[in-house]
Amino acid sequence: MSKNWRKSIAIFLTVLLGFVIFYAGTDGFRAFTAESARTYKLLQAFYLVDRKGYLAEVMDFTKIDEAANTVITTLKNDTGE
Amino acid sequence: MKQAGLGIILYWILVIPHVKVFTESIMLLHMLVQLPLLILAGWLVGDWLIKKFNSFFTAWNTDGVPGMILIVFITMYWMLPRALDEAVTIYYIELFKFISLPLVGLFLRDSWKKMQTLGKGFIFLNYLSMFALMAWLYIDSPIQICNNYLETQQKALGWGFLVITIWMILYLLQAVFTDQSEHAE
Repeated sequence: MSKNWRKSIAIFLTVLLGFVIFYAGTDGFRAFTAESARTYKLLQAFYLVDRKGYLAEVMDFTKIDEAANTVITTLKNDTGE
Repeated sequence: MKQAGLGIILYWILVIPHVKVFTESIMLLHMLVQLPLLILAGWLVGDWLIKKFNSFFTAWNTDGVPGMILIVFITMYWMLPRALDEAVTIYYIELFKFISLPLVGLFLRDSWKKMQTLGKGFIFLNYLSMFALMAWLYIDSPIQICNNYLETQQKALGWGFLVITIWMILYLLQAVFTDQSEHAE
């Protein structure tokens, strides 16, 4: 029983450690090459501000998911008004 | 104890600045010579350490599974092109390399003999497919993946991975299609 308990804890800790290594080593699973890491760090520093003061990260445009969709829709609505 | 001494000597040879710089100057040597030799150093020292801390390894690495998970994660991390690049340019990644890979060797020595045949087969096939994928990635990539290594070097590394993959397939074929009953006895 004690060995099973220890085994479960050990497996949990090693999986957790593995994910931490990968998360830290790839900027949150975003950059798998040194060049993409460099680009990611550069783009993080840039923002777009529209006339209504809406702040959008340039990084959001690179994501093909809700983030880009939300940002583009907001900017479009703000421009239309 | 003799093996542990050899492991320590091997480790110190790899740490010597000239050796380190030379092995890291060529991508193929970095990935397929320096990293495996660091694992080998850990594996050689492992026997002595496992005997010395036997109670710890028996209690926490009962069937070798936790150790093998750690091995898989660390080796997968070191297969990332970024890890190789940063090991050359960032000192703490370099330090992590010289600590984590001997640990892989240590846990490999303890875990492999404890693993069951099915687990060993799974790990072997996992690495077979990973090496094949790395071969394809480095040979076929139309762009330079690593900032510190030229495209020709990454192609050479890709061919190196392909040779390892072919050897692994040949080993697998001979294990499957030859009589292993004498070994089993």
